[in-house]
Amino acid sequence: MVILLLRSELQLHTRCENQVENEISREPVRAGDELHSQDRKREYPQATHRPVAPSRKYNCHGLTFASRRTWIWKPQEIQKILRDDEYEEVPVQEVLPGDIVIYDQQGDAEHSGIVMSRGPVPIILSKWGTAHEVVHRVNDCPYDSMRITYYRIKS
Amino acid sequence: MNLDNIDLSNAIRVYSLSNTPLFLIRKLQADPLVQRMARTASGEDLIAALRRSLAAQADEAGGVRPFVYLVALWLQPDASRLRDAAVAVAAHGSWHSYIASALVETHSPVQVRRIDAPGYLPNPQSKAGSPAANNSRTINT
Repeated sequence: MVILLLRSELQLHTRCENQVENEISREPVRAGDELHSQDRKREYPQATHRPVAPSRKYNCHGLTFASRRTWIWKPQEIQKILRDDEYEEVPVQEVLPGDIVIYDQQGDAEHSGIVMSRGPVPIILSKWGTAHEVVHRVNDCPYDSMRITYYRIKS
Repeated sequence: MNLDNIDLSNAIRVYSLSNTPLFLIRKLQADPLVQRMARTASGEDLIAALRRSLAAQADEAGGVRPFVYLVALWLQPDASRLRDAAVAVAAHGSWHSYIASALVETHSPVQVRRIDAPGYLPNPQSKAGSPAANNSRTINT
């Protein structure tokens, strides 16, 4: 029988076998988490709110880079993944489904997501903090979309 | 200001949306409530409230409350209180120690300097044709 700690770090490597610092929290969600999720649904009625419960196990970067398994929060870890996994910037006019988007603020990747479809405004799948997953227009979310960069993995 | 009974609704919202601790810091630094707290509460009171929040059972606001006090201390000019607070929170979680370190590193003392508005000249000189020149009146007898 495996005993899991309430908080621990998963083995998560880049393609260059560098460990990516992460933290999975197995603590139960707090009483207010579900209420906050409901608030976000009311605040962003144009978005598609996936029926996934709030979770502290993974965040947006965990969804984008770690298959929803853990929470990645240090800015340098995102830079490490982009470098080691050979992501390349993509101009907005060339964005395709499957590319990723990073919302950057002063060197901090405060949010990320996966491009679901292109168009006048790309549609993104992401997770909002401890709240649920959301499919939303790239600029229709609680994060600053003034400095966003699209990336595509090279090979 | 009662530091144990403040409206943390915005801070709780921001905390629930935070994917990274630096996002939380930026939003709390811009929160008017945190700014008011920094102006009106003493460093001692903020540290005492911080210690109480760390010792208390985590309620809905319990998660974000220590960060609110930390950022309020960051907004104050005295860095020594912030350093004390950083030591107090270090063992309470990875975000606590990371945020405390980031705040200590980026703290800069704020100087408040009073600048008096320019005064009026005591004896303004008037020239012919200026409005002041019309203040004199000659009375012929």
